[in-house]
Amino acid sequence: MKKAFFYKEWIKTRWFLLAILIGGILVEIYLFLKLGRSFRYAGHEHLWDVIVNRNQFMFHTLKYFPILAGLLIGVVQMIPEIVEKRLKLSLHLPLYESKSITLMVGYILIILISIFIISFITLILGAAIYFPLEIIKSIAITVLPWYLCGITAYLLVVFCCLEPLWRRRIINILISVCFLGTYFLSSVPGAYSKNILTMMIIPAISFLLIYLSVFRFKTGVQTN
Amino acid sequence: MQSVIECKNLTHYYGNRCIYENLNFTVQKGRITGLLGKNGTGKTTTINIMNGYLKPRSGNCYLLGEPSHSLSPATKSKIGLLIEGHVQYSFFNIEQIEKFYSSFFPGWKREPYYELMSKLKIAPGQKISKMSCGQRSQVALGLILAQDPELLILDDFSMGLDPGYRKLFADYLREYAKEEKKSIFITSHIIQDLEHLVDDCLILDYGTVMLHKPTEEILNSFKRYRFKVNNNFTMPDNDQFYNTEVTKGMAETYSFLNKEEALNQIKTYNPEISEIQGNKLTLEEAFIGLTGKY
Repeated sequence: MKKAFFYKEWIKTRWFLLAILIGGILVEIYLFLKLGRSFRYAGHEHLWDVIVNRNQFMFHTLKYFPILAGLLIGVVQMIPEIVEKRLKLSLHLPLYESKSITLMVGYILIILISIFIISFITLILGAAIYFPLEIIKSIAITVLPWYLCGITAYLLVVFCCLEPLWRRRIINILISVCFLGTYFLSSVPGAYSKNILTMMIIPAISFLLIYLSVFRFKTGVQTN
Repeated sequence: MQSVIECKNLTHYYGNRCIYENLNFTVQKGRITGLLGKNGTGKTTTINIMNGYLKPRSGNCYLLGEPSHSLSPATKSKIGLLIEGHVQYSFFNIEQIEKFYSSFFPGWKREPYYELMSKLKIAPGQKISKMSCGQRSQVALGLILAQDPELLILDDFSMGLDPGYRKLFADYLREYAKEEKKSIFITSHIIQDLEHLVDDCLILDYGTVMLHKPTEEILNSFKRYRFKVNNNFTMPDNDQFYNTEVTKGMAETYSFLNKEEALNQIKTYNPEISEIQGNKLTLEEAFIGLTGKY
């Protein structure tokens, strides 16, 4: 049954997942081409001064890739489920409803996290060619919240899409914007280094909120 | 006889609007039961409660002995569901969707599905989203037949279908139900499609079950009577005649009484009436006779 669920989600989302993977690769190619160009034209000393003394971050372009990826895949996965209330079909499959939803969301989480891990490792390995360990650590701690934001964005799209009532959905969207906004409060490198655990709590809460939307769908608030 | 659906004291409101209070009915195993009612009488509400997608304000609905809002996976696998509009996963093609569903049901029978698909004359790789409404209805029906459920709940199966597909759907379903001794609960806004399909009719009126009888009994005993009257004629309120109307000196009423009983009863209201004409009705005419035109 797990395989069948994954098969369904794969058929539905495969081209978009591939697009996200390619998008992530292109972003990183662009970042390293840009970095190489900076080294060549600005010089090593100047770049070192910009990074260390002026606290500038060289990989800002990556900031919006995870959130866009999360939003896109959430919409692509959930729109077919909510159009004509197709979710009823998924919830009527011979599984407990919570398991059906967990499998649907779990599949995307596994793939999305895998893409993010590939993107993260590529970034760190690429940066390791140019920078010392201290700066690599700073890069890692700076980009990690962005990837967490991407996961949270996906979960919140599911939370908003599965909510059956439009007026409540708008409230959910506002809550989601606030949640996602916390990942963009500061653009200083390593700004979230002391709050990484707190930033991990947000996707956990977002995951639980999905079950609230499913519960509301099941009790039929859409017709009230 | 064992019941497959049991609704006990169902009460539901949308806001302050009462849909029904204390609605009770049971559906027997092996029967095809049609749920009929005018718009707004609560057909969709009942189906939603039955499918577990609406929690009633009070009361309970049981499918195969389990509360409909919390069916176990084993019971879900015994219930085939057709959602209004023959909704299915439209991103699949007909082979992919069969492969997907077959993993969930141990008794999956792919033959009836592919038998139906062969009649559609479409390529196996064609996406469901690119099919006509009629073709989609056959995909949805084929999947239910392949699931081989004990109980089928079909919500407005005729929606969007042309007469050919409606007949194909109804004929296939009836043959299948009788051969396999399946229980079916079905709604349709086109009542003539149900006439040769359903064993029992469950007619909802605003707030209550108006009638729950075998279709044959309704068709055999429910009649329309016409008789000449003077313009002052009025039929007193009673539970033996339905929706009496007088137009240009002609009265029309409906009743389960036979011709003689009806005449004697009408004479008690107006002794001048000496003759009435009785007509057998189609199910659609009987439905209008019972529930009224308005």
